[in-house]
Amino acid sequence: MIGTVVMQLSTPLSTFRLELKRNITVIKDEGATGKSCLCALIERYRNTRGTPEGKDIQYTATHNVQPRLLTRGVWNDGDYKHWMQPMILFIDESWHIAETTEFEQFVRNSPHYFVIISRNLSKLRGLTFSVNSIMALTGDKSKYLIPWSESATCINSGVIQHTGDLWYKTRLPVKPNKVITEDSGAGYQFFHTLCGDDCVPSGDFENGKPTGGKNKVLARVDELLKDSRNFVLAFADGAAFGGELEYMLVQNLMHSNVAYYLYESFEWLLLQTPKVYRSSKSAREAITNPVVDSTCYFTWERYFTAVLQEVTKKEHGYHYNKLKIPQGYLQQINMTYLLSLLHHVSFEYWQKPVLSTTVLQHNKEEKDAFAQCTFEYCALQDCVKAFRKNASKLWFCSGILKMSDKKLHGYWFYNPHKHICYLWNRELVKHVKSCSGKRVLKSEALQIITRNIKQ
Amino acid sequence: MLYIDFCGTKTEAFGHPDFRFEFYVKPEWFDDPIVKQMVKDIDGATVHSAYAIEHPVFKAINYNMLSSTCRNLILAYKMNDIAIDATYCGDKAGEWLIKLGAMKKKLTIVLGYVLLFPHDFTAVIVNDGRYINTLHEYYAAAKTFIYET
Repeated sequence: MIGTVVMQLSTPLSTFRLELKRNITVIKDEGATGKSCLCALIERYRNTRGTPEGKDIQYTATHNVQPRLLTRGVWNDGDYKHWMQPMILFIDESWHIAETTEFEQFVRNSPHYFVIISRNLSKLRGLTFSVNSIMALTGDKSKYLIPWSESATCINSGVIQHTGDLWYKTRLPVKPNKVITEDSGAGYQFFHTLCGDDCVPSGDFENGKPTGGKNKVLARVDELLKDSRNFVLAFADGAAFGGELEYMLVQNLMHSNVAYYLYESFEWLLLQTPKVYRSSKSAREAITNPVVDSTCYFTWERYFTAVLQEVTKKEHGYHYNKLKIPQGYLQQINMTYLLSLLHHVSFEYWQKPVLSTTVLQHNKEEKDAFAQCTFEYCALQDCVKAFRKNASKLWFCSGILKMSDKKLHGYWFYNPHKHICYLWNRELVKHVKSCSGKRVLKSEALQIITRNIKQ
Repeated sequence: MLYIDFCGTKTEAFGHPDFRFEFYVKPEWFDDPIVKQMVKDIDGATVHSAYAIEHPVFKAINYNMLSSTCRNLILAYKMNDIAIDATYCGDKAGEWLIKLGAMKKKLTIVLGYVLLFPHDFTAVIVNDGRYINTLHEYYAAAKTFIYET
């Protein structure tokens, strides 16, 4: 299976239009949405195709991929083993096929698209599929798939909210004081640099191999939730977290102090580091329009890792290893940028200045801190020097300072220990002193700063 | 009283209605106003008789074409000696399961996932015999018997 497939099955009474982006799509929704009817229609289409009786059922699909039911009978006969052409295989929960280990093996490296109709995700935990591939069927006469998190059940019950990759129950931004990473290698090292001992991996290393994993993340979250003072944010690879979604929901139903950030994979995040993203076309394509061959990459997580390894080897001359993060990603400027991509998460518990320009607009405490801050002028070159010397102590800030009808662009370094801002614009110093703490808006600071540093 | 057996460890469930409903259903069930209301709430269809149901999408249908959620609820209401597999019921069934639990002396359901009930209710968890009265207690039991075992 390569890329997205759109299939449409129409009859005079109804139309089913399904867009399948990944090798496995799970349809989980409330009753009476038309799942069984879809299966019945597919069977009818296959049995009447090319005959006068089949004229009322129209079928179209990208690359003319044909639909087929993988029923219990076909499964028992073993006919499916001879299906070499990519097909869209529909599996209903009542046939009890998707929960078998044989099915897991069949799916692995298979050229087919699988549409599994099942509400019982816990039985599919052996399969590896994305949280973004759990869908609900919706619509009256014209039916289509929407993400399950946008389905009526999910929204009406208030079970969980979903913004981008962040799954949460409380208000935004999420402000954790404990972080759990699924990954015991690079991902853990990245967040450990920021959060120190407040960051724990889902598992340790045994004989040089990480023992963590998606199911251990949830158990680790449960442990931390025993202390009600903790607000736990778990980072896991959404590309393989689908089977754990229900357990995650139960945690969210029982506790309000937990949130999950389910990015595609940690490598997906690293691919967006400015240096990597700008230098490679394949990195940009992987992020903006991933075309994944499921026979090579069982999940998107593996695809992003492979792309990152290829890009770093070709463009930067080193081999990316999942077990140890290269130091370059831990540089302040890269970390600041990557953390800014994790939308709606505030890391102020560990690192206030990272979000200082944003926080200044909302947070009274931060405004007050800024108002009390001393502003000193220093030449750009000296700023750069100071940054290089004290990379871990000084933080970049940037913004547009708004004073009545006047707008001033400015970049500054903030030293959280000394409460001093170093600025390299004399006029700005003057204005900041007269209006500090009033209104500071965020701008696309980092790229400009990076440019200045290079100069 | 509603009895919930998570993952069917102690109860044998009736199975998917696609394969068994038609062998047990009786046409006169569809004259019952409660069944009519169930079909209306779940499928949005109007029952005239067992063989004439007016469906919003498929027009005229018979009882076999009702959704699995709907057929499961009808079995739960009309049959006393079976445990329905509510894993094949969607979240729309929650309200009706609570109602039927209150109406019947014993209604056993098997659940393989966390069906989202709309409000607090009373039930017995068959797995360990505990009584639950709130949604929070239901989630805690589900977590223990579905995901932690």
